[in-house]
Amino acid sequence: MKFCATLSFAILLLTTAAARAAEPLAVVTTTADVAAIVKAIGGERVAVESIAKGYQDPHFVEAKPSFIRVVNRARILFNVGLELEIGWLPLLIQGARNPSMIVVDLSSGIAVLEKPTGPVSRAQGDVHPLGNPHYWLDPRNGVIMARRVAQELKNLAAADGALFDQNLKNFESEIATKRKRWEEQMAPFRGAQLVTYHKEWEYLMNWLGLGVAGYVEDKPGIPATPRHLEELVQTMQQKKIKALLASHYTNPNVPKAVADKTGAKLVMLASSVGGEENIKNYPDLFESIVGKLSAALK
Amino acid sequence: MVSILPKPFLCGVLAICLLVPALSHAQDNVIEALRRQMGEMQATMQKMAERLEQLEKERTAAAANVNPPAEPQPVVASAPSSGKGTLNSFNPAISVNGLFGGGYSTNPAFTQRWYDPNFHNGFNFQEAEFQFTADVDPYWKANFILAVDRAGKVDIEEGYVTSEQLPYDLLPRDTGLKLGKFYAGFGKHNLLHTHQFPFINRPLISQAVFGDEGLKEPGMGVSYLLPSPWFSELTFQGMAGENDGLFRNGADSKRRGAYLGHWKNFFDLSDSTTVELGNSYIAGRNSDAGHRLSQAIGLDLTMKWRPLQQSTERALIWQNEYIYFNRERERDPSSRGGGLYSSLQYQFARNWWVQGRYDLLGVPKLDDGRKNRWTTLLALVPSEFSALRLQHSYTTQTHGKSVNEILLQMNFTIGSHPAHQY
Repeated sequence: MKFCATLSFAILLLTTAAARAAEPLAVVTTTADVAAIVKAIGGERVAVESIAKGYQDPHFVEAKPSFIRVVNRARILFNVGLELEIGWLPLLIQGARNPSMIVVDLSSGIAVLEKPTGPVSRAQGDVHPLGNPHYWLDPRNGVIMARRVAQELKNLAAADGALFDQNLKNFESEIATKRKRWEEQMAPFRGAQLVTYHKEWEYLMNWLGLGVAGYVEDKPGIPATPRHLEELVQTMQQKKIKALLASHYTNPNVPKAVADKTGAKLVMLASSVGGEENIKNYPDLFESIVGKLSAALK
Repeated sequence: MVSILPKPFLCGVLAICLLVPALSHAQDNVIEALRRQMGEMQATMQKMAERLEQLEKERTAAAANVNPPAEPQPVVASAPSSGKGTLNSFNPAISVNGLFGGGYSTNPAFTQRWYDPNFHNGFNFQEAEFQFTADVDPYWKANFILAVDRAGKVDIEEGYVTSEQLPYDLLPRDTGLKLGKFYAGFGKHNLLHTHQFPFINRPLISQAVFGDEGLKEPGMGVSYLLPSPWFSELTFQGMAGENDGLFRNGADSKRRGAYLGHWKNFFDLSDSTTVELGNSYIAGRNSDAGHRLSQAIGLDLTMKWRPLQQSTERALIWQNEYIYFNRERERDPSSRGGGLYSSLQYQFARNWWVQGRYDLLGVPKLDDGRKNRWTTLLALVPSEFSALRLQHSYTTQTHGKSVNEILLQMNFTIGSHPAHQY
């Protein structure tokens, strides 16, 4: 009897251990782009959940208690960093009461653009003192992020290391092939000047060799004054700007008015995976962006 | 001129003139050679010095068993590379909030103490609040909030540490610990600092039960995240029980102490709509002769709607709270009663909010009857760091005249970026 009990207990222990080993790794990410990269690397071995939805402005996510629950269950959290999530992530991490969770800031390893060199002040609007955080909008940075993700996942689930390596290899080669095509598609427009709504397309412009002639926002995160808009319209007419870019979550009213006045095309671009229904993974994001941009600049 | 000088002299001069450059040339050669030699010597000495230095290094490295230099790291964009050094990064994050206002009331005696009771109508500096936040060590996070009122009196509104992890895993997973002086976790409104109030003044019921300053006490608390399919949190707090409103405990009171429980539940109806349901209970000895019990029970319901595609431009918040309290007395009948508020806040444009609140004090009736208050508010919010708010309220009461009150408030914050509680 005693033996039977011991045996069944041992079996129970073994099966739960096996079940645990087979359980996918619980991963939480702050944005949908990071989630897409984690999914590409982790595949079936990770259960990834993003806090910000792809169609949402990542600056203004609310620290809902339901997210606290998500963070509470996660083994590892990947975030964009550079203070993009400063308004909400600290509360979620603190509220989660999950001290064993690993927090990975993916911005390390990225060559950050627009690091302020002088003093910063809130009079300049929503400036990011650590530099522009929208770095996932350059596919080359996506590869750097993916490498870091693979490394961290391997540290947590060494048994699946080979799979993560293979997935990383596939991801890298997919981006490399597609990048070549995207770059070719955009090559005729190198050096073209554009106007954007918010200061969030710098990495994309940098990658494609495009220039920013101005912003609809007077200062980051602060709605434009009529005077600024007037000046912008003049600049756009003088420089014959062909396209005005705004993120999918931007209220199109103001940029539309500016575009109409100047004859420029208003291009509403998804700045995150999930920003449009057909953007399901990280390469899809650039497929959509490059498609729309090249059409507008023709 | 040539004729007056003797020929040999001329010859001599000529010879000298020819010789000097030749001599100087020879001299130059010698100097050049010397210089070269010197240069070579210098180079040799330099090499020797370098070699010596390297030998020295190798010797110390061997002695200290130093690892070979690490692989070059990728460009890391972590901490800002300001010249201020690392000392600064240990300083707490500091933010300062200012509340400046003006008001007019038809019944100054009735006016709440948001400005000085002797200062009936006009402008007033309501409060300045200083917040300091930092990690103490890997286990504790500290928070200090000091408030300075118009008279210059400094009050430690809150000063506490929180922890999610302790050495030897003393704190179980899913558990949080809070120690210090803090706003008790009773309901929704009591947790807010003056500058976070959705309206310029407190709800009537919160003021009637906990007084002008709310329920904040020295104490400790634990909170636990329940393993439910929705967010569900239990909080228990033990505190001094000094609150003027509920316990009426003076410094002479010997038996003090109060205990609080709060259960918070949160549901996502959709990506944009959420519901929060909570209930709270607090009990503690009061100062009445026999140290009788003071108790309060609270219920709260909050619904929030914010469409994610327009997250900066539209929002609707409906918040309701009911509190019932019972302050037992030794001989006289107990002082008891209840009240509620229901408020609606609507953001109709990027920088604008319009809000309304209904306050009912006296369900069941209090000793001094019943009060009804209707409040409307319009807020201009240029950024998350500033708000200008205009509020009107109309109050009727069982005993006394009806009161009209207009308040204007400027609310601004400087310093570190505060994270926003949901």
